[in-house]
Amino acid sequence: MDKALLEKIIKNKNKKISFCLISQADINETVLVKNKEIDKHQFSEFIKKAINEDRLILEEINGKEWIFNPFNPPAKLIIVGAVHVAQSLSIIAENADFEVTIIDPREAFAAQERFPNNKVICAWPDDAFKEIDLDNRTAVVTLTHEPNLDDIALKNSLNSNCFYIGALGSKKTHKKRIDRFIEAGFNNKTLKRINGPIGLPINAQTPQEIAISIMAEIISSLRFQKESIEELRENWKNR
Amino acid sequence: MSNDPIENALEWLKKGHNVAIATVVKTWGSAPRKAGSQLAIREDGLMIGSVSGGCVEGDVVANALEIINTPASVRLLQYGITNDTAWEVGLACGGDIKIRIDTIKSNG
Repeated sequence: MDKALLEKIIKNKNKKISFCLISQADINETVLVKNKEIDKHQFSEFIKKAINEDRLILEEINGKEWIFNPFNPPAKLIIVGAVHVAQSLSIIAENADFEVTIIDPREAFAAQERFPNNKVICAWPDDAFKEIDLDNRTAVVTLTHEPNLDDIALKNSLNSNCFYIGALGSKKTHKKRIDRFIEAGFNNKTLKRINGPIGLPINAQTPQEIAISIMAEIISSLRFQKESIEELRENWKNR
Repeated sequence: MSNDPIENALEWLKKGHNVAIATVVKTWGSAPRKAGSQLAIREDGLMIGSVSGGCVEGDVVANALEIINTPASVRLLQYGITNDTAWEVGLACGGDIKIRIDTIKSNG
């Protein structure tokens, strides 16, 4: 490693692209591979695996140990509803290295001063979502309590690859929501993607505590394999 | 100031310090930080980041300081409950980790 490599790492992190550092385990030489170079690389299989699984891979290849250290852009959190819970959630999400965007068409809520460190989009979810790529490293949370706002955001999310969808509201509210979505043509399996009532059941009371339970659920979705999440939820329910 | 080890390492280099970056390259069992976690170390011992829950950082820093002012190099370290030094710097959680230290010269 040298100073130039560190500069290159930071430059590419700021560009928010995925890249990989490759070195032989015991040799002082590290290269940064990105974009088109990945496909052409002799170890492209391992580079892609490291990037896709977002974890460092140590692999023995032809008797030599190689390190594949991936760097991915931060996971994204889209919060629809610039409410009190959103203020706490944006702070803890950012601390967990998420890039946070807040959407609310209501100007009184979507005041930049309420979210000094985050991108705030004062628009309806339909319009706001046009400029957001809901990819598999994106979580969407709806907090408005207004079906006409939340539903638009949830429909956009269900039609995307985002890894987490959560909707604030009681069991009763969630049941009504599911009924509306079934009427709109969504099937039960798809609707299971919506976590509602939102958050892990830690009996959160204040906006700050609710934000923690939501963040814990988002992290569990990001870090667990799909099957484990179901298991986790069952275990929580049966405590 | 950012908590990012790489950003801090670069700042230190720009100010004329030699630095080292330790990276967790493999974990077995219940390790406190996942592979890829990094700790940046300045030549005076200041550190940012982590490679464990605090169990082995002291020894990693000591190893880094041994090589930080020699020509740029790497050193591999392994810690675990089976390690001879387990009582001093082993992992309380019972996991094993392998760490690589890279040194970087301010003038390189």
